[in-house]
Amino acid sequence: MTRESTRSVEVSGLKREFKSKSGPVVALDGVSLDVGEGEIFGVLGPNGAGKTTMIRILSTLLLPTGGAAKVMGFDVEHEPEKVRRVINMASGAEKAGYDFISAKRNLWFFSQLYGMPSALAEKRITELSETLGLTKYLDRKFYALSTGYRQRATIARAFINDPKVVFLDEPTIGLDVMTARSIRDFLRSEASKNGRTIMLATHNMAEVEAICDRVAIIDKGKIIAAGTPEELKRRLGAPALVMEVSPPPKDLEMLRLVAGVKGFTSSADDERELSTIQVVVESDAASKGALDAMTASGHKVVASWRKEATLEEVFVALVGSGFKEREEEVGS
Amino acid sequence: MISFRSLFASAWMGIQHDLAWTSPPAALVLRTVAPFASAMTVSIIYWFGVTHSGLTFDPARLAFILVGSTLYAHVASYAWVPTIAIAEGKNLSVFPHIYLTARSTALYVAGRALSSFAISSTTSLAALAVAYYVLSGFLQTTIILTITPASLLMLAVALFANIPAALGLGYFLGAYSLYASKFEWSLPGYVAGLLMVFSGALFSTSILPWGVSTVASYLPFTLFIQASRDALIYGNLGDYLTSLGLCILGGVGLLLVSLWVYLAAERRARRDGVLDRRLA
Repeated sequence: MTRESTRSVEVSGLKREFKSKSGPVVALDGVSLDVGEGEIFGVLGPNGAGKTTMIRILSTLLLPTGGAAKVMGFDVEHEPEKVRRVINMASGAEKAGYDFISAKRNLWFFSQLYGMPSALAEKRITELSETLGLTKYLDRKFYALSTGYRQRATIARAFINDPKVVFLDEPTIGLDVMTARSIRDFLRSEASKNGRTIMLATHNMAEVEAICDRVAIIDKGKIIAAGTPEELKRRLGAPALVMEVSPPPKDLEMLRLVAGVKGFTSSADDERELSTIQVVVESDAASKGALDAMTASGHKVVASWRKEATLEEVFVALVGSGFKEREEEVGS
Repeated sequence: MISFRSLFASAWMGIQHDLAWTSPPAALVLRTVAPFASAMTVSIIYWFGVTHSGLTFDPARLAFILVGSTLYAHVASYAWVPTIAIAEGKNLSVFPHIYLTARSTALYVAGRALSSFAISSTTSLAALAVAYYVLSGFLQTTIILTITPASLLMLAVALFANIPAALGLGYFLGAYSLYASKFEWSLPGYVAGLLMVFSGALFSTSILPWGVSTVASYLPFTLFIQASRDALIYGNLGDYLTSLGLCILGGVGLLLVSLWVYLAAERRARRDGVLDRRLA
């Protein structure tokens, strides 16, 4: 069958419901999005938002219960074998290798499952290892690799078959700053030089801002905003307000009553007996209102300042709370 | 081409995985210990029981037990590999990625079973040889085994003829392993126990209750062990060919049915989202 589309990924009304002892759980609730060829597309959301479910469906590991999705024009539900020929995927949460086999032989094994001639596979392994800084460690057994090098090997595996679309689920989770940076550089280069489409599910906002061309923010199985990181941040209107408050407030409901406050997150510092509260506001007036409300509630605002909005503030503005609070809600 | 490459790579990975945790010769020696110990145990129990109950010790019966126990150990060590390969693959997170390389993981599973066949053929036959010499010396008797190029060729053919049946059983258990979040490590042990009773490994299936006995005597594993005994003990070519033919026929039938079940389980596992679920 010829390709029907030039978009790399097309998702329309995608749904997935899981059965559980406490009743059905909706992991994806009518998600729609498009990803262009050569684009790095981020799917950003807290744990439990539905990111991994989407990646699993698009990579044909899981069937949807509703809607449709195509990868390089092939339907993930009805043409999984055609989809598999043009994709690969990796997750940062898994180690994905045989412990007692060298990193090189692990990569070779997967290249053979993809039907690559051995000489071509060796060449590809050499190229990927050089780019990812893995060459010196190729002959080490998988279990003997550090977390960072194991993850580099996992990323190399995800590109071994020269895929057109790569799905990555938290690819830099748990990695040190330098390793994470080198993996991000690699991904950026694969997209720009080789035209690969990379779809990245993450809850790391800095990662999305650093490498993604566009991002979709997902919460409770629904896309709540999509665009370039800059576009999303511009929608907020005003810089976020940060205040350090003592003693730490038991609740922050007084902020919800202030006109122009879109949402807030807080973190307590027990040692210093204060809370750092980030408030997403529509305007300078709302910022002043939030400070006044805090003071009126009997708390002392030790310090306050304004800062440029990040994607987390975008998320807070959209759902009224931060990733951490959202994960606690989902978990409870 | 892709299929052969996948099959070969999976078999290669199986051998590496099973032997590379230590030096390969050491791994082979260690893998010989279990079938050797099993053969020695049942042989000595037979000898002890007979000599202490006033019955006549029969070297042909000892050969029957020796061949049955080592070849049972051979089947037991490779028919379960699909189950273990899937369970272990899920725990190592490689299984979903193997699934994504092709239409199905069936070829991978077959490759792993073939690698284990090669290893367990080597170790089981080594165990048989060592047990033969040790028991001959220890019991000071001649164990009646016919070791000639022809009998060894017949044994080799029987070993290969049993592959479809063993792979068939493997696919059945593998289908369970795709879903299971418990028992997948111990399930092979339970089935192995049943197989020991019903495959004529240590005693003739004719002593089983009527009906059960008939079914047991036509199991491909029973026929494989029977053909191997025909090759090494009785030297009866007609019986050998009959057992061999029925073993292949039953094995291929079992393989076709179990492969269908495995592929259906795989499709269902994708629907239910358990292909990449880690196991307990």
